[in-house]
Amino acid sequence: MKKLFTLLIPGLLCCLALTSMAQQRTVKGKVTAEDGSPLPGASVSIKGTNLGTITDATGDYTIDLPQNAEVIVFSFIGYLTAEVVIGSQGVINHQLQLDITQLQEVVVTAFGIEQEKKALGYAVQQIEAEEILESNQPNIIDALQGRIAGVQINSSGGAPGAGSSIIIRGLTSLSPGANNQPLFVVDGIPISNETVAGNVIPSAGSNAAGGGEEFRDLASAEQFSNTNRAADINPDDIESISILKGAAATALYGLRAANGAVIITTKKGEAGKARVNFSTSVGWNNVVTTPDIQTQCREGRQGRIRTNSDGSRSSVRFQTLGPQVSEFDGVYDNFDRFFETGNTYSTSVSLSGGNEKTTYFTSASRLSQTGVVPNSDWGRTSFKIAGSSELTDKFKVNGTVTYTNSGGNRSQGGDKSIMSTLNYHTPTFDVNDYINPDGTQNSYAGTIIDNPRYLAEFSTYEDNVDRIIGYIGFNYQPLEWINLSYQLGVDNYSDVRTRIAPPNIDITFQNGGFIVEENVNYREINSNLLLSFNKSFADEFSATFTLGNQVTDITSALTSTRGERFALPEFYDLSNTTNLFAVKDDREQKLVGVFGELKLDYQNMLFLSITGRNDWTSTLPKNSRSFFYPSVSLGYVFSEQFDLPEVFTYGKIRASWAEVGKDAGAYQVGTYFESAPGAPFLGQSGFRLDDMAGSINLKPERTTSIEIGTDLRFFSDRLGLDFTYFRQVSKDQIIPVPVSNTTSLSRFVTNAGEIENRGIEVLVNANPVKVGDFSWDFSLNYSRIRNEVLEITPLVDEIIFYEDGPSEIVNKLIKGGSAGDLYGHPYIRDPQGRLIIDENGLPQSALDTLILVGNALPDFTAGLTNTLTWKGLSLSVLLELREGGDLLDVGLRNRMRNGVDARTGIRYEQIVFNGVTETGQVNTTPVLPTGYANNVSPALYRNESAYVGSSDILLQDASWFRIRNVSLSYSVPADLLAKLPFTSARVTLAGNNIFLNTPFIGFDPESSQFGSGTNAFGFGGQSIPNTRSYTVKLNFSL
Amino acid sequence: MKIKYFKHTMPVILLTVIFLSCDDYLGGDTNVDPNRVGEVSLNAVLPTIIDATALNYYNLGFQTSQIVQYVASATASAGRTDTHNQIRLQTTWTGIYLRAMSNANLLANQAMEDGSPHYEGVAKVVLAINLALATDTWGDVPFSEAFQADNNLTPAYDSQESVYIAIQGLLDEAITALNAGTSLFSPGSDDLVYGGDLSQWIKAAHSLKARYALHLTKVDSEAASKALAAVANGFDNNDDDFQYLYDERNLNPWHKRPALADGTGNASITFSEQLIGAMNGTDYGVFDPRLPIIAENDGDPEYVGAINGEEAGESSNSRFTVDTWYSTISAPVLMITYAESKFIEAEAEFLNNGGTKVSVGSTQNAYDAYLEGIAAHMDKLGVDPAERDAYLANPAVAVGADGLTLDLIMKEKYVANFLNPETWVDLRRYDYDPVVYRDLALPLDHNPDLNGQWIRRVLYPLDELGRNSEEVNKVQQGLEVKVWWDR
Repeated sequence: MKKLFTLLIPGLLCCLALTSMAQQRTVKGKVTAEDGSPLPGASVSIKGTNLGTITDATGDYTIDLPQNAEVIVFSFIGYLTAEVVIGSQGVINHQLQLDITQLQEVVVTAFGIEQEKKALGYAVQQIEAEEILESNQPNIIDALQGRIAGVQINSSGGAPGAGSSIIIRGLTSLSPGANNQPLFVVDGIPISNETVAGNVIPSAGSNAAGGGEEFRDLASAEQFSNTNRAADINPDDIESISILKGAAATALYGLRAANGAVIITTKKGEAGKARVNFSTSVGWNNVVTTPDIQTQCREGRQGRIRTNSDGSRSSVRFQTLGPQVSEFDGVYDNFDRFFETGNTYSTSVSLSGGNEKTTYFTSASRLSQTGVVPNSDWGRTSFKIAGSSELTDKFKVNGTVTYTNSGGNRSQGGDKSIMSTLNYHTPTFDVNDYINPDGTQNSYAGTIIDNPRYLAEFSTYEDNVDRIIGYIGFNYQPLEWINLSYQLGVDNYSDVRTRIAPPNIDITFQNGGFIVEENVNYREINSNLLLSFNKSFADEFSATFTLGNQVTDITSALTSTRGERFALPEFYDLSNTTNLFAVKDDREQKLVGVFGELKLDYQNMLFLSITGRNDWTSTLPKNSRSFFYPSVSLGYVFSEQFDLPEVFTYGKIRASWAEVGKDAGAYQVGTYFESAPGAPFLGQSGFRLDDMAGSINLKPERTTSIEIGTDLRFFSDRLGLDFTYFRQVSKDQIIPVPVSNTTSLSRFVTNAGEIENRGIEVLVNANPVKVGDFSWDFSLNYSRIRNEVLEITPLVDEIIFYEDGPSEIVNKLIKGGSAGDLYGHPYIRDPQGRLIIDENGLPQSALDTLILVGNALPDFTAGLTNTLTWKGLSLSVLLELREGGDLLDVGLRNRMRNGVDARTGIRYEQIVFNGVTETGQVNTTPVLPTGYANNVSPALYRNESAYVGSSDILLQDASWFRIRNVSLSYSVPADLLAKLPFTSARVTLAGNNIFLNTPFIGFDPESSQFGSGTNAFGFGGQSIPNTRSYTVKLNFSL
Repeated sequence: MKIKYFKHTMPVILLTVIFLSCDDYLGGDTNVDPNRVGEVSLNAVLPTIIDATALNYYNLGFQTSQIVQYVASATASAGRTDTHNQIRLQTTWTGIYLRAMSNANLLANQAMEDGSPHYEGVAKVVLAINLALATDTWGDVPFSEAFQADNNLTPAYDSQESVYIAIQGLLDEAITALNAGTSLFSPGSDDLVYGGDLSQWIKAAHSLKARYALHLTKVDSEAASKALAAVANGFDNNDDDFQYLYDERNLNPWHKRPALADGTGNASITFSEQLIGAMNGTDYGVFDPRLPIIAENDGDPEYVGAINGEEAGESSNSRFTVDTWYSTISAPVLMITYAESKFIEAEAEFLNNGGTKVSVGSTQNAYDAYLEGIAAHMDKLGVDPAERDAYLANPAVAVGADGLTLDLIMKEKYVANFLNPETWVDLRRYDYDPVVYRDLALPLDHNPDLNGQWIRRVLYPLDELGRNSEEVNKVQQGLEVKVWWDR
């Protein structure tokens, strides 16, 4: 903080000094536009000072001149800034010239092709380096939060390195295991954004993800919030991120971009003097919010501390349903005591430059984070070098290579984890008193409930990723209208993970402790060839024709070796285990695409683009391996054709229709035998029929989308409105359809089902105030998406995405339903909606039936960025709203039925439920929550029907409003810089998640229970909770 | 010229190369999973179906043992089996159909194609024993249209009567196949039950025929004599027991849970006062020396069981540990034993002799089989011979042929078949009658929907209901509705 003041004070002094400099001489005049009309609101200032004014409604101004005034500056948004020497003039009229470059906003589209936004027939949203840095997020996906319309970001919690998922315009695949995330492309080359959940579950002792076999893919995903691999990218290296949302935008990328595409462009060197950028930051993270706990009663059951027959305390007293706390008992808020303050340190340096022929960019960065959970951390080190060179006028080569090392100690969530035990932990024992003098675990409940701190320290999981991403490419332009470019890229990483669970904790009680060593190797090679022809016919008409070829080869290998039952104590190595289990998962996938695009431009007003792509994929049967899909899009800039009112600067409408295909996963077709889990049996190998088989007639999925939109700008671009409506229908979904187990299959992969996503996206950009050096900009995005299952398959009535076993809250799809539908057992009510109360005075839940009780998807989301700048000071505030969407806190049920949650604090007071009896009389029967008075068994908080099995209690509205980010920065002004060895210097104070308002009781409802690679929504609460962070950052350039 | 040439030919060349090489590039082995195989040998499947069958016995036994009150639920949650709540037993259904029967059916078919009748016979015995588990639990179940993968994704349900014909048919076919003189392949060390001894498989098939014949005492007047005919060719001693042993790597499921899980707060079941009462002298006036072998009471003077339906089974002091006989790390799961076959013989003799629930006295054969069954099970559990003989000589046990009653036979069968789902069949055959099972009473907190009636079947699993609803809806019945052989 001290540092901050020393930097701020000179700035403040500067301002004060300037206000006292006003002098007598004045200049006046009129500012007009190109056509001679007056320009109200234009800025008029004296160069080298802070004095300025704006023109009035008739374009007139008057300004007082200081003595040394030499040059007057005229500026207005959308016009070129002009400087006029004052000399002895008393009247200076000036006509401003339109700034054409500003209207030609350029965005990056498929294959890194930069296009004028004006020419596009579909919506593209791009965010720039500045906004990415402002967000202060180590994971680039999180940096998009709140900034992009139509995009849903789901974080898997607040653990360092926790993965995040991104879904653009809703779920397009009905299959629980399908990938619904967009393709990630860096500098034209696709990279992996996979989240590998691996296989960290022991042979026995875990009920992770309900233990159900059908959810075994999720069991591992809920234990550790593994990193999505796009987090390996250093945000400081990024120039811009462009989000291609619809099928028309991604048509050229083909099937891998069927869920949209995230196009990342990294920084390049620029001709000129070598430039060094250095930035460093330090941050503090804390948990945003934790559940309130009751402090009136202590551990035990049925109102007493559990004792054995000999009077000793039983370890089976893990509940907090004991007697009232006496003055001698300690009471601890263990949520509060458990979580620490985490730190983030980040340093990044880059060197770039070049001459007119050759440019280079190199960078090095290091990020290290410690988590809010003790003994958790994550780090990332990256080195990058990029260069390009013009060998001849016609031939350019370019390339880049980035090496990243990332990983850390991850903290466990989900079943039998830090979070599940913390939810159980009684407030009458201190969670940090976790270890006995002999090094064994000290838990107040024996082995029944582990001590979460002990788990954090000793039940560990470490990952270590080494990754190289790079490409080489060339560009050959034999004639001005022909361009040939080629890129060969590779993304290669290895991820070595070690999971150690020591003996004598809950999860190892049945297996004697275990170690899992997992190696993930991934390699993706892409070859892109683009040939384009560009021709103008007369002045009015120009055409570009692009032909391309893309070849993709992906191989991945996962080997997982699990050893169980440690022989020697405290030596956690595979060689020290008695039982070994090995899992291997090798995959290969190949893809060839040929595509073409014809773009026509008439008078820079009407833009037409037609594309076609044919893909050949290795994952589909031979007869359906090849498939073609077209797209057409049209943009019409009507403001070019019609004379619009003065305030209406620019107007465009756009429309597109596109189709895109999607293939199956590797090896989904056919019937196989697999080694049975647990094999070998008594030394004999055991194989079984894989209960999932794929139709040999599998076809590709097809998504057809239409999109219409408009881009309107007013007041010389000071107000912009962009509106998009889209509707996309995905049919022939490749789904592992659950089938009767009596068929010898449990899932049959076939084409079934049709799902629709429709929605609107609205963007408003405005610059309502610009006075002198002061400017206020805001940017609002709003989106609402509706998802509907149009068809499933005649084979089944429903597809279950996930079922939380204990609470019986189920995320399932039926025809006419939506992807986020949640089913549960609500209270039984009369037609007026009043609770029906039974003779014991208790409400009852419909435990026998599953009823639609909510939906996990939001009704709408909105983000609002306000940026205020005044000279070197800039304040940016990002507000984010999520309205609607329900969430089950998976830990809530245990917090309730074990008497930890604050709501269970009422024990010995009678309560009367609001409702009516079966005969319609107002209920007056009192209930004592402990159950004894009315002899109701079990006690209220353990009663499934009356309380803890009811979705009314368990499922909550997860709407929220938050201040996602506040960033205040100060750039040292040029005159001060002159005395310093820097070309620029800036200090930034930032806060993330600094305010949260939500009806949800418990943790921050934003993070999801399962890892970023899953499609189960509506479940949370047992991942490491979200954090709030404060950061101080310094940037210098030389 | 050169540039023009380049311009026109380049794309053509590229496309040609791409089209020609596409099939080679994408085809071949590219989409063949290297982690799994397309074909397997017979000996690779046999261990799987045996392991799966034993697990089915555990999974189903875990539930039925609560119904027959060997054990009581130690959880407080709703939907407990021991209070006869709506149970559907998804895991058991999946285990029977997907893990055991589907693969046994495949093994039988492949063995027939391969000319390996010995494998065919073994596979059909395994098929029969699982099919019987299924039909005795749910009633009507799919069989004739099952296991056809995508050729029939919604198999019809067969009536239980026809399923019973199929079971006996499978066992007859198995016996014929096992007796075949030549077989290209024969089971050996991959046979985790009998180590390739086909004569023992043949005896097992006969004992099973006897068991399933006797299931039909309510609907087939010749059930007892059919059982007697079959049991004569069945097991000869404890070595013939149809059981699956575990080891330090593949832990006995009763060891994993409930014995180990008892220490982690996931205590699931504890001993029921019904079993304890039958063994500690309360109901039959003799202390059974097997009780300390199967239950641990931590040195308390008495064995106390929980009353089924009480919250969390709290009054019990008797539990499974890693040392109690049925839940040691490598204990066998018993599927059908020599002891059971002796009780089948005793009961069938008793009934054939005109015996009823209340009649006293039977043939010497019945009495001998009764005593032999007790001795066999005691030997199995390693009861000290002196204690065994003392028990067998106790007047409460040694009633003589003239004093033999059905309740004594069934009580001893109840004890010898501890944890075996077979006991639930017996209790239903005798309508849970406390005359046959002394002191048997409905659990506390009994499912009110049943209006005081005992549970007679399990509901079809929700998965099956969702995936094969049309067929399930044709045969679905309530928990209290008796299956065909129980009429």
